[in-house]
Amino acid sequence: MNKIYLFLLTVVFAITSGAVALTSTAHASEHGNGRVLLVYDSQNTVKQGEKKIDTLQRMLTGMGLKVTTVKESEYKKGELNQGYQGVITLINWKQAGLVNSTFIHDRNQYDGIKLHIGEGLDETEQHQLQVELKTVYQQQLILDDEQNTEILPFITRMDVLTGVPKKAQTFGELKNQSIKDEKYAYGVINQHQGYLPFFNNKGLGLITASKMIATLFDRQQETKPLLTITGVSPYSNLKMLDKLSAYCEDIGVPLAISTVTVDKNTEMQAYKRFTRYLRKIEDRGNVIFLQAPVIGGATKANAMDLSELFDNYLLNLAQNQIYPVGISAQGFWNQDRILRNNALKKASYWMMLPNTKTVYLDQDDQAGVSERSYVALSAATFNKIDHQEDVRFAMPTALTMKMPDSDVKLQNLKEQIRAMDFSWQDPEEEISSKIDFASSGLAYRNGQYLVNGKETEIDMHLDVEASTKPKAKPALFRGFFKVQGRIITVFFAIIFTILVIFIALGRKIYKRMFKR
Amino acid sequence: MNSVKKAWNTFQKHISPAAMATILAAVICAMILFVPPVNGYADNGDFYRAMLSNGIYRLPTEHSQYIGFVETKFGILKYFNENNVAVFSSQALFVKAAVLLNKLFYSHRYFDIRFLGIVYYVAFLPGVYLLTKALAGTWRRIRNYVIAIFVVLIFADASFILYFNSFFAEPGMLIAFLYAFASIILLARGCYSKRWKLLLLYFISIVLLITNKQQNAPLALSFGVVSMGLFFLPGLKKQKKLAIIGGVVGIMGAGILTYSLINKEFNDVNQYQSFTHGVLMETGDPSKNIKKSGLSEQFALMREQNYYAKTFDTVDPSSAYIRKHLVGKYNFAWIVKYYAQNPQQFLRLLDVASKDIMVTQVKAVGDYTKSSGKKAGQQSTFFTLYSSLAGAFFPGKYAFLCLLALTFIIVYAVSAYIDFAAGRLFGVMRFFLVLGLMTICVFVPIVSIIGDGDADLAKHLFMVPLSLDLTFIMFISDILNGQLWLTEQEEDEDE
Repeated sequence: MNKIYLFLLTVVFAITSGAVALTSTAHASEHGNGRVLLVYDSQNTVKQGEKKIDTLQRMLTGMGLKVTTVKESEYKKGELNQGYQGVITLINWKQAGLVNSTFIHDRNQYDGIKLHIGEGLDETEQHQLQVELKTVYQQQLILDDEQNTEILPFITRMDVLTGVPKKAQTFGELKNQSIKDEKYAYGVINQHQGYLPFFNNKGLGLITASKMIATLFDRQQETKPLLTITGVSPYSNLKMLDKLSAYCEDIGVPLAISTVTVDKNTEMQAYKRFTRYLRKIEDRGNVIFLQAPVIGGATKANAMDLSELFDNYLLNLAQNQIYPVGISAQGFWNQDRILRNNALKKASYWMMLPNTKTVYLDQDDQAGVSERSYVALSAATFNKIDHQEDVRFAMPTALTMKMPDSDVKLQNLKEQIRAMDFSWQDPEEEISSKIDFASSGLAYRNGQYLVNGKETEIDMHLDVEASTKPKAKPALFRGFFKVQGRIITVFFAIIFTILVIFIALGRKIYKRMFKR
Repeated sequence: MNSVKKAWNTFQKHISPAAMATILAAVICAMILFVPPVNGYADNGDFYRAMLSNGIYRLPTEHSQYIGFVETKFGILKYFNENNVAVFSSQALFVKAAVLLNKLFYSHRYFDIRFLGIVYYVAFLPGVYLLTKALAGTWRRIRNYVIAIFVVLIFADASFILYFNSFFAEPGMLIAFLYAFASIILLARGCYSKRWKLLLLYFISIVLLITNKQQNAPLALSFGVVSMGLFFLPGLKKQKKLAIIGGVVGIMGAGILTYSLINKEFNDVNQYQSFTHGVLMETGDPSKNIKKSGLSEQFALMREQNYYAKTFDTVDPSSAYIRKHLVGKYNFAWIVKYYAQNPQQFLRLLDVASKDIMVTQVKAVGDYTKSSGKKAGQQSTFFTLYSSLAGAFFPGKYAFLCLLALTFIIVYAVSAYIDFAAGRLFGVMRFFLVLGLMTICVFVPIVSIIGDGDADLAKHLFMVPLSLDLTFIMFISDILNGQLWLTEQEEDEDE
């Protein structure tokens, strides 16, 4: 009998624990699935507000969050209830304000993670955050985060929080430069709610904001930045690139290169030279990201062409022992269905560069995620950070520098790199990536390149000069047409000569007619 | 038999060769342009130049409006047109006339391309009339009717006429050239007593032709040569000579004006493509050659790249880096010097240019509307006999083109010499005309290759097949009229 009770008890326990587990999974799928809805009021391009949206999107992707972006006025009823883990409200232009009452209503009802960035925190949000809002005017503020400080641009007005509950987590402090006691929290998290009074897409502001967002969405990580040289192309000054990478090797700074390539003319010496220099980069323990091309007149119909283009890029590079570890592209590539699916998704490592010129083929604003996605930020914007060696980023971050195109710029760049004190990410230790294209696969693990699963050494003496070029088979009848062309030319030359003789003779005969 | 002869006599009495050619051309062209399925040329991406500045825009459609199908319906801007004139062109006169007609008879909101077709059609037919009259003379013998048929076969060929239902600038060139050619021959024949009308027609046509397209600017020199013949017109008083000098100066001025109005963007495009589609082409590996000429060998990888990439491109040609390190480092003098150092490559490029010189039908775009049910990019074959034959059999060698030009020049120089010695006009004027046309045939490929490489060759060389066709038809008519060597004989016979 006891055994029966024990058995029944076990069954009941098993069922109950299973049910609990199922319930928690459902909860996770609703709130822990990494899907985030980013709602912005306006692009506010006059103040480069679109760049903030771009940086935020790339940051969230870096944190492994699948961000769907929607303009507030285009938000549709019930959209928020489609299984999002959180919602971010980004106010770029207070004057435009939130006008879509459906969104405000849905957001008020929503019980997931909520983050408000910028002005216009409404009463419900304040109530949910359990804070009070205070507007400060005409002030010079300093952002203070741990050991670092950053002077912010002079502000005309800013909404800051007061009465922040003690249980709330704060990130960074905003201090008044002239009044020492006037301090406000920069980032505030109270349970599932968060608030940032502004969003800076550079410097300390970005580091602190990213930390706060990662904590809010439970995606905390501490990563070292990857020093990356962007703007490399087969047309770059390759000797200069070589000097730069040699210099970085000398001072012990690991490097990543983001380079575009060509899919045609790969039989030319110029391409061999390009890959020879890239091999040198690889040989020094540096890594290469294949950068996406510029978009010309491509349309939706060119999806397959894009996929083939990347396959060709990778195939030609691989044939010359260049094994990119990931794909780099401007942020908008991840907001476009065709660009994302036919290019980015070939790689497990992405590097999302800031948008410079956006050309969409099929914009869906539903960013995907990858195993690792670096947010590329200009290194120069972190120059003023004091204790750089201690700085850790809340998402994979690439600090970028532009490929120099003159000796003076190269010298400046070297000095800039030397002056930076970041603890740089070492690709050999921290990158473990793969790229699948056509029917091949490239991988990089523990500083070792793998081609189709087999370890491959970079051969610096790869004799590219001697590589036998397949000789073009002469086209059928080519010789015939060549001969035909010559025959016609000779034929005409003969006719022409005869014609001149006839004219001369004819003229003589004609004249003779009158001489009689 | 008698009844046939009688019918022929009646026909001959009432319908001149010129009238016959015009009627035939009118019927054939109307069938191509206006009888369903409507034919024309689809947009290769160039239409915007003529559309935007004339207040015409694309209506949204679900299918692509480029390459595959001819689009007949467009929108007309209702309010202020903020688009700048993309290209300075006399084509605007035709498009504006078409928009006016469209507004009068059809709609203020929508534009039907067929109105542009009608404008060209109406301008083209008198050109055919004048050309036939110039070539067949005033005679009404069977051979003159044969000449008329040749005129129709060659110039009413669909490869030319399809242009009418498009925003390409070529129809203006075709029509203006017909008028200019015909007016010179008519002047030479002395058919009309009021020569000033023909002179005016000639100069206006040439100015319209030169200002029609940027690449026509250098043609001013060729037409300068043609105009030399005008100074041999008998009994020219000082004022009239001055007027002719004024006309020639006007032609040169039109050339200079057209050249100077080429905007910076077009210059950049041409300069870039003259490198990627010229300097880098028709040679094994150009890396070493361009390095020798002072450019980074890496730019060899740009071979065959267009300024406006069709899909994707490695770098943006308009980027600061390319401007500084490539485009800023060479100019057209550099290109000329490069070709002087690499003559074999240049000759190969000229052969590429000459290869399909007589293929006048634009093969890159479709000729049918989507509603016709034809496949995308399908070509019309109706009335393309001449262009098909010429395209298939004309030898594609630049050397052949030069020899042909030389032959024509020598043939016509003989009669010019004879006529000059005898104090007659016809042979002399005809010689200068042929000389001018042959300079077009010889120099336009050179200018095209230096100016824009092998990009858009078919369109850049449009004037070459046209010049050859006009010379061919003149040659045929001169043989049929018995006026090739001695221009006087036939006139005597006829009298």
